Amino acid sequence: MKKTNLLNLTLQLALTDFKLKYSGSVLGYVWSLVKPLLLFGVLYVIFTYFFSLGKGIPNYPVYLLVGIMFWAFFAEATMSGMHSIVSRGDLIRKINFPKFVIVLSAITTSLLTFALNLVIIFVFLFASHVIPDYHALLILPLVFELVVFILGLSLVLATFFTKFRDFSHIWEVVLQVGFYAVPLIYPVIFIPEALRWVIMLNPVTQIIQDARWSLISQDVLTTWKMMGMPLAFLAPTIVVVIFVFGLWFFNISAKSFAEEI
Amino acid sequence: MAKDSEMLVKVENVSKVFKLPHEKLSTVKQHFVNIFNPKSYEKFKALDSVSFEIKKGEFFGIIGANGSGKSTLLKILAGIYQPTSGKVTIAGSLSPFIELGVGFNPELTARENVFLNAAILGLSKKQTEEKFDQIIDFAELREFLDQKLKNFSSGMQVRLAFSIAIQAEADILVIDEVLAVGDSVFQQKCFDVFYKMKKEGKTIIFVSHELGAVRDFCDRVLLMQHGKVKTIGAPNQAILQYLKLNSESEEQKLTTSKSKNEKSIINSVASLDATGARKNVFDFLEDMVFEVKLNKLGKKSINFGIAIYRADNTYCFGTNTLLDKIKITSKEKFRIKYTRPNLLPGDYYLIVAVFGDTDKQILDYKEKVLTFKVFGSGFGEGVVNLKHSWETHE
Repeated sequence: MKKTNLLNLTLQLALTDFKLKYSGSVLGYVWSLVKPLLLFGVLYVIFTYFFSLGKGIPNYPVYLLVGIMFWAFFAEATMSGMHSIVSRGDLIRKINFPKFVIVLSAITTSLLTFALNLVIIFVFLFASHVIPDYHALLILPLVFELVVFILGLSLVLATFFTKFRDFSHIWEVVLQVGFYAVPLIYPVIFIPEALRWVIMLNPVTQIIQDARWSLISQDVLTTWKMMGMPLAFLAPTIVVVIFVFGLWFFNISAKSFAEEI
Repeated sequence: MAKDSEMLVKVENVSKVFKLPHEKLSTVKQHFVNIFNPKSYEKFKALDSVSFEIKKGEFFGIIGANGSGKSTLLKILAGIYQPTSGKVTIAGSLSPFIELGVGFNPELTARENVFLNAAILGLSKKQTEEKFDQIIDFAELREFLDQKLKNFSSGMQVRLAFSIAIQAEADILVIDEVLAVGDSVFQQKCFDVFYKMKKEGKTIIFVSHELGAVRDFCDRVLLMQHGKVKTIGAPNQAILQYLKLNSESEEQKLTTSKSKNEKSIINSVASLDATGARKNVFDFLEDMVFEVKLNKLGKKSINFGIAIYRADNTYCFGTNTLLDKIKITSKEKFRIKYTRPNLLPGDYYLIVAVFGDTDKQILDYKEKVLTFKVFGSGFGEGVVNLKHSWETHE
């Protein structure tokens, strides 16, 4: 298959999934916006009125919203990326094509939802009078970095998942821990100093903090600010290493997928 | 075949072994618990050193009973499975699917499914748009374009799937069992497409149980049995052998069931060709001989009747010794010969009976005592090809 045709296939599969996800529901695509917004609403009420976590942070609502939207994308995309190979088993058993396309299309479906969510973020930014400037352009390479990271992880997870169905549960637990291990609802300064560099090295933290920095305020503490120049590249390096490993691991296993699943 | 015809597909000693675990281990815990136990699984050899070659422009048929390894072979050719040992070399591109309508989604409209399926078959969006009208017109589904696929009949779905599949751009096309569904009008359309492809010199691998179509289109036919290549050769030869394989197994069934009935007069009935060799599959042009063996029954005078029925219980022809005014002289063995019976190709069975002086006095009666097939190019419709000639006057 030609490369352009592979791209067409990826998009067709992704769009189909996106369409089918909401087929038969009255509100349709609105649901993909409602769900993270609802989570945002609940967390906002809890952490401003009951725990007053957000007091130290300027523009806490958008700060929280950016974190939740990025995290929701990460969680949903890795989950569906992991399940993609097994759930497309009927296709894999009947036709030979690069299996990579399946994982990529699953992530693309989540990316479409995320693109809609980004619109919501911008609406909220304007509503809270935080007008983004040229720094906001940084959001594009950040989303790209996040997609590469998700893709790398999904390739590894999808391969494991064909052999061990446990990974569905394992990854769910990891995501639950991750929700609190990444500074989504609390500011970075809440993390004990000894632990802080571990948390900040997580590429998801790095991406979310950078996104907040570019969209909301340049006062946000980012990984590169904390680590200094040479070490600032550590998080992106982790992303690249996981992606390359994922590609390699996936490709050596992909030939036997049709028989395994 | 032209001299410079190149080998497009070369399959060398391909074997495929499936490990069928007695208990599938699919969680980490199960693997952990089973680390110290030897894993128990059965090995199943789906393909056993299969070798063959397909030349450019050839219409290559694959036939065989269910479970003979046809699908596994196709999946290996398509690259879906990897062979356990052996090598497959394919020069050029091979249509990568082994089934029609892969990825069809019942919740999508026909239009959406065309684009999805075409993408899966490797077409770009532009190519699909260019061929869209052609696809829809061939499938004759223009009025239903924006209907969801789940509201389509299975015949309509196959029509749509086939129309897309023939647009796949590949040097070698794999066609698997398309003729099983679809009405006769659509089948005729498929045949027209095959003829056209054949003319265009496309290389096609054709898998079907529709032996007539295999005979009409294929240049060579591969017969699979128990994962092995039984024959590769001219369609007629391979098909005949396939039919023989089938009827052999049928005959075995019959003899075992017969032995229980000891009192019966008729011991056995066998079908032979003109030379006296046992045969269950006859060419349309061949003479048929049936040999009847009787159990010893003393001096009683008997008559014998034999009737040929088609598999759909159509009574084709019956006669008996009384009608033909024949006395059976040997009480052990006798034959009846049909010279060029002209029965049209199909499945037939025999009913035989032994009776006394009148046909009311039935002494023994055996239904479906023997089944046989007629094969070949017996043109015409109905039961027999009556000897005929045409005369026209100007």
